[in-house]
Amino acid sequence: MNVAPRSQSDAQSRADRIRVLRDELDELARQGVLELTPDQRGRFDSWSSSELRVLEASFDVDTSDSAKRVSWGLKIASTLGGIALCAALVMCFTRYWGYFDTWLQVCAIVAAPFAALAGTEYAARRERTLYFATQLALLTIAAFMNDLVMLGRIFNVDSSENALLVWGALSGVLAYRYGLRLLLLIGIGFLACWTSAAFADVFGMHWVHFADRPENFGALGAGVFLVPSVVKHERRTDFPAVYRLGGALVFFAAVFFLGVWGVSSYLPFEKKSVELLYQCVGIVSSAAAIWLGIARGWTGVVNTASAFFVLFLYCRLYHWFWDLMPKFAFFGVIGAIAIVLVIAFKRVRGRIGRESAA
Amino acid sequence: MTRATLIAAAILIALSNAVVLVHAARNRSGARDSALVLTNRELSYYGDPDDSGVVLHLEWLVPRSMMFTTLLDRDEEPPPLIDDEKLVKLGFDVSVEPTDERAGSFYARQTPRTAFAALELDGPAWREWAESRRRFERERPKFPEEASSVRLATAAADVETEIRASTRLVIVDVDRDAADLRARHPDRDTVAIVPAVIGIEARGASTTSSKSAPRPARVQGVVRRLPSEIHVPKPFSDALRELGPAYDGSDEPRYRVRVEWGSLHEPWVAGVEGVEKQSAR
Repeated sequence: MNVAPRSQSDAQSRADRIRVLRDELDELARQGVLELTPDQRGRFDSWSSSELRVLEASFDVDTSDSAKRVSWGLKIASTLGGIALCAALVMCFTRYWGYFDTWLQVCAIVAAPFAALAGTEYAARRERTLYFATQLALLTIAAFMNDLVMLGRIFNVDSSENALLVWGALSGVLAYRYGLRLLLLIGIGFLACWTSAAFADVFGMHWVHFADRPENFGALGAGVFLVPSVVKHERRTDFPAVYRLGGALVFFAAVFFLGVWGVSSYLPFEKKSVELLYQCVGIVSSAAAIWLGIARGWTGVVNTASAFFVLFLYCRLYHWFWDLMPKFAFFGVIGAIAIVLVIAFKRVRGRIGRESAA
Repeated sequence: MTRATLIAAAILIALSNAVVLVHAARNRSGARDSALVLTNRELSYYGDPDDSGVVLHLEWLVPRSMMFTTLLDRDEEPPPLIDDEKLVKLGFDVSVEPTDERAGSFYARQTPRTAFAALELDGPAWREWAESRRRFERERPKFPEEASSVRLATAAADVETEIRASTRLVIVDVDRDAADLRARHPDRDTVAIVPAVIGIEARGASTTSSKSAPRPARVQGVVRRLPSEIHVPKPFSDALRELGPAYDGSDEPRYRVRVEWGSLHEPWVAGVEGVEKQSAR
């Protein structure tokens, strides 16, 4: 059954599959394994060209390897450009705002996010690739952040964690409206910080110390990871991967931090015991995430969990062996473990390959 | 694309701005909580070539700081600013003795709490601090190279200069409840109530002087943070910007700033005077 792609990434993977099928048919014909009749081949070529044209027109997908490479360059330039524009906006305002009367300052900072939002909408309607829309969406978030920070400064309002909530909410709204994964990742970051800050506030702590309890972030990371299991993304089919990546990053970073600085834990145990516990939790959970990622085909989760697995393992090895053995022997053990890991990963990959072939 | 999410984004921006503006208006409406006239001793202006806004930094002292009480006998030492009773009221757990080997990690795990602090201007607490500074200078062990009376006189003069240049704002009390704090410090022209963040720490026993007895291990509250930046709007900012951030070495105040704190304990500049080119009262 031909299911119409719902997102740019769905469309891109479909275009990739069609291109691979076309290349493989050429190769099979060259080897004499399978040769379609001229009529069949003609109909296939006509169908594949038509499908690719439709996908290109609807989603602006890349239909060749070189186009793909250029697209990556565009994405990187667009993101870096967006960040640079944000810095320029904030610094320009900071440079000149003091010369204006208060009412003018307020008008300028309040108008900026509305103007950037209008620009984002205009750009999104004009181009399907959303490179300029991404830049302007980043600018909208930066203008909104500048807006609330400067209003707080002008009226000497004590800072509040609720700014994180509205920044995260706006990032999320823009992400879902335009299908921007970067904005979703930023929104997840803001909302994770706000939840931890609000939790701290409930217990009488000042919100600025929201990062003092990494366990809050560990629980939040696990929650964010599970969002795609609860909320189905039928239109934004590429967003579940962002939730999983964001959740895994937040969770593993929190566990890693607790593994090296146990004093910040809620657990009423000795610092060393807490650190040992979280190092073990880190190794076990990252290994489990690798397994889950391989089983479900979640590339981002596998890569993130692999990086943290190695980090947790080396951290534990450092605590065990650094003082016990000569330095050359320590690094020798690290190298030996790396070789074992490479062999293990190769076997897993081989088994997956055999299963796929079968 | 439907317009719903676009409208939601616009409403979110508008509502957030409205909340901040209403909050600022609420703070400034009604009776002010306090009004203090501060000088460049209490409000520093540094200036930044990349920031045209004028921000004054509130300078304050913690009284009874250990720096100038190390030569006092134990019985002369004033009580701590934040004692155990206040720490408990602020929400800290002080059940572990400071001498307990678990005390370090037990107190390090307690995160800072929100509270309010009473800042007293040029009151008894500041005079006590200034006197302890002078006494420290008189009684501290002297280095061999300070043997001459000229050197000692110079050192004493330096201390007087330091005292004349020092801020006169001193934290005299803290509480979780601003109303309780105001009831204990009712003078609104010399005491400002400001939001504060209070931490807790355990200190080990120490011997700091041959004269004084060893100080026992103790648990103490520490003021971690006060909102210490005050934005100066036009036209007051023009005069301060022209005056510049550099210190001219004079004992005379370079500027006097009337700062008012509103019902939500947030400040604003209500007047600047005494600057060379007056653009405000």
